[in-house]
Amino acid sequence: MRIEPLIKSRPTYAPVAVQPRAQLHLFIASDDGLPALEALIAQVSESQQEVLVFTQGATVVDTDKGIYPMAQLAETVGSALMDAPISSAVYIAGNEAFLWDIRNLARSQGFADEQIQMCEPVNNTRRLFCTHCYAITEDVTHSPHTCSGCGRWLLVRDHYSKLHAAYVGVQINAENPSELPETEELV
Amino acid sequence: MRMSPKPIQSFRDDFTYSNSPGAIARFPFPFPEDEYMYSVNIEPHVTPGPEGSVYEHLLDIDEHYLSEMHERDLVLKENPKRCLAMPHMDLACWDMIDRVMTCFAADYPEHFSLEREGDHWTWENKLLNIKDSFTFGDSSTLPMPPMEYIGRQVQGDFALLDQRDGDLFLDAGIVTCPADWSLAFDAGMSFKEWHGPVPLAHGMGVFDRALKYLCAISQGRPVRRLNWTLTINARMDTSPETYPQWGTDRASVTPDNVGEKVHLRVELQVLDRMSRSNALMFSIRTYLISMNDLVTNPEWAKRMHRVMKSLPPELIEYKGLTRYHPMLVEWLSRFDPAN
Repeated sequence: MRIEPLIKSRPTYAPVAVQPRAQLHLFIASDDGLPALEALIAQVSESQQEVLVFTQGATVVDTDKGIYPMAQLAETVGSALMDAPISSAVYIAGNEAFLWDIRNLARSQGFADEQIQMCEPVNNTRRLFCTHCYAITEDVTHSPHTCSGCGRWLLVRDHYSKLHAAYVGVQINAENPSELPETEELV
Repeated sequence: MRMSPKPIQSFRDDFTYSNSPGAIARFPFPFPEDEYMYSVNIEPHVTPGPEGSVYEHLLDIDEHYLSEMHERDLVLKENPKRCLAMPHMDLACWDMIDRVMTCFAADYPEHFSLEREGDHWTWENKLLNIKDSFTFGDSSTLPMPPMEYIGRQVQGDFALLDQRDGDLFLDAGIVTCPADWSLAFDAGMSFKEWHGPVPLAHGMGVFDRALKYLCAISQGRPVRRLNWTLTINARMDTSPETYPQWGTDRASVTPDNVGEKVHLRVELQVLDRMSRSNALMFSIRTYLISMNDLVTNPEWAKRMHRVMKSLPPELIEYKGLTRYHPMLVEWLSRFDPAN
């Protein structure tokens, strides 16, 4: 049984399955997301699959094997999507910001949401959007968290924007700046 | 128009905003019962409504016109991203220009005029000393992007909702006096997503029913509803963006200043189908009244007390009333004979 989120904009993730009618299966993962896709990759013939893995460093970059540096994400995924036939299926695994960044790229190139499947995020890290200065803070695991832009202590809310691929952060002690609530781990 | 625009008053710093007796009399008091709970309180916005009321015309202009347009200018100068329109919303923005100009010229002819010769339009706004000629539909013939251009001439916040896949998407807007929501963050969200943080109502199915209703709105049959919250001081811009500037206001309420500090903030929300783009124009027209002015009407004072006293804790928290709610109930109790 899935737990219904209290805030309805927070995404939920259905189980991912191979779409049998797709002409090409495009698997896109961060290196820590790849294990979540391996069982699916095994179900698809090699001629019908393309696997792109992005690494921040743990895995050695080897573009012949489809392993790219994270810095080339937009460019590499962009051209793979461009070259993919119309009836392709996209499968994504990684942290939540990674999932939605790829989904937004695919959408901007004409893919429908039905063609895009996302695995459950590999961890609880969140991208945070500061509602005061609009700065983005990556890999947030605790609330409150300081904003990378304005330095305010932000309450990390569950309200999620798919477009920003981020949760909203609001100054936690704006009503009484002398208060600083305890830090909690995000789930 | 019964309400003539007054000279500019402020919604920040020294808060010189005030309501005339006429403005108090026409204030859209939002509570039909002694207890408040969410409902799909949407009704047809049939115009002309009662003469002189906020419902008389599609879009209401009152004595605060110049003050609100000045305040909007201040907000946009501080943060131009309080206004946005995604590229696919250009046509919808022109729909809005058409709707606002056509209605204003018809409803308030002493202040606005519109001449149309094919696509060549000439618009005059005497209140703001604006007179522009432009080619309808050609954004390059306006002095600024279409949403900002028209948004700077009309009271209240506006959003344009793109309708697709049986849902509504928040893809354009000018939002400088919101009750604590951010257009920049909520941009592009679906109907249920941007209502995500609202407590209780999802479980009641309110948003399923409302969405169905709104998607079915047809041209020329606008609908309206009232929404409300409380605001400390007559502050229009209670946005998340500026929360660090107004958050401490909530801690400034004392038993002695409740009447002047606490304001009932009512939104007259109107949804109107656009003819070319099929978008919904969502206008959120905000009215502020201090408790001192509100209790000059004994019926409102009594009801306000009962509504506040019976408000569910989730709503007290969600609407940000926690710090001063008990003080307010105590202050209002003197106006309720049953107490």
